[in-house]
Amino acid sequence: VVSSTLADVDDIDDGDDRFERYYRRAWRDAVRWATGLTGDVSAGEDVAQEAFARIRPRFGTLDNADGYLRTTIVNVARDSRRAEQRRNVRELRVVRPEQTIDPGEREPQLLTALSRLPYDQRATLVLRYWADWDEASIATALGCRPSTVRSHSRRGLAALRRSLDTEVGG
Amino acid sequence: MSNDEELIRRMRLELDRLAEGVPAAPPQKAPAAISSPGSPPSRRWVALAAAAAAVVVLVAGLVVVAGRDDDAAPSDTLPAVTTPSDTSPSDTTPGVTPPGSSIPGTTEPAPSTTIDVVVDEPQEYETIGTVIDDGTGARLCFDVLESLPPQCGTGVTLIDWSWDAIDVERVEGGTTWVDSIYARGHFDRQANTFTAIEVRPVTDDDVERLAIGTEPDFSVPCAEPEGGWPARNQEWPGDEVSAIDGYAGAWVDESQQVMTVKFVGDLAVAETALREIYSDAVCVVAAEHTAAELADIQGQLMAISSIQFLSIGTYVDATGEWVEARTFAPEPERQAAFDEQFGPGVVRLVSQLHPVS
Repeated sequence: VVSSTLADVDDIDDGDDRFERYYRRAWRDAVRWATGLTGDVSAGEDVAQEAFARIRPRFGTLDNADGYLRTTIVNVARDSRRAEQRRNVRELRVVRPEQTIDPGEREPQLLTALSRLPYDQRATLVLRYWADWDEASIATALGCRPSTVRSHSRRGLAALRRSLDTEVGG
Repeated sequence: MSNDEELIRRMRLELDRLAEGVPAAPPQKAPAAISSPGSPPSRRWVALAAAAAAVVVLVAGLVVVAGRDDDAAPSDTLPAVTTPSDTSPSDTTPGVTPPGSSIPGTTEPAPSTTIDVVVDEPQEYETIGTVIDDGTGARLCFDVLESLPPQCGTGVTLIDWSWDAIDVERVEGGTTWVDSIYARGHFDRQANTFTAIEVRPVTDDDVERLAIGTEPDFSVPCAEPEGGWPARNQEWPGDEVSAIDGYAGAWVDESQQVMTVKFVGDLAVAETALREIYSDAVCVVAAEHTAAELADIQGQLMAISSIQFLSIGTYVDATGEWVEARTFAPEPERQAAFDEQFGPGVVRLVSQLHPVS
């Protein structure tokens, strides 16, 4: 449906072998997207693995496997983030890490600010501006209209800027 | 560079750095299959596949054959009929007796093998889209990747397209495009092509007339308390609320004060659970479908291979809960099948191309 970096699997045999090949070719993109959505490579790998496991039983019936994989990753990452948030809430009661800003080099606070956005806004920013998904793919994955994607994008950027300004300003 | 562009550049850079840690190759074997929560039983899939297959038969042909007995032979044994492309509406199939005639030399009506053949005129459609030609041919695009130059997300190939009629196109990096135009013409479902009869700049009337789908009603369906709704102070605990049993969806009204939340089941129990985590103004109302049910239906639609959806979304508003799927052209037969499968109006098909009446 959309421009994709995922491999074309039309020429691949049926059955498990076909899924294995799809898995190997699509895996890296899937983990990258999930890493962007979760903010962590290990969590991204877990999300991608679960997404592949979920689509495997349906793979033979899917016309748009890429689209299904995208939506599954976005949904699994959402669930993963909820579990992580609950864990973080407990940890923040005992640990309050210092914020350090190093504007010349890395900006870890930017990813922190990104992680604090509502999930749909974060996913929109990551998928639209980093993973280069189009609006329709994001809308489908998030279960909303393309116009809502644009709204998430606007609000997400504004919130991200506010968050960074607040941190820089103290 | 604008503030947004600069922020996006920094965000991309950080995400690139983060993703440097992604291994180049996956684990040796793909994971074993697991079922996602709420996966439909296989029998349901069979039923859906059968319904979809029947719909394909119904919508695939442009020729309508009328007057056939229910017990008549399947369509592949009917006399051959011609397609609209080489038949005028008044034509009848060679070898088939026209309606109202009789066999010469008798006064009896024509035998039951006589059929009427009615041929549809090619349907005209109108829409608003972006035309992009990246050097491989012009496409009328309905979802666009906002790069420079833009790229076509979903769209149809334009037949016999000429840029001569367009004087506002832009050219960049070998791509020619025009952001938004009105187009009227013929759509070929099988080839996914569009032959434009008319193209022109979009008017306000076009935008209103060719709007897609139903605009959700995000009003507050509860009466305002005496003295008005209290100001909103608390951040909405969306994740926690959506975990309450029977949750269907939630929205905030235009004033950003009142959260409306819909639940299936016992509203008193749901509201009690909600009040434990949110104390500002809320309106709790009944729903017919949970968020999980809608997500499951959305997943089922995505797995249907016989139709291409441009987008599929779930909606919850003051009027109901539904899954909205955008197709290229109207699909009334599929709509009927989905109404039967999921319940009337639970799946709503909306069309990017609007038939010209």
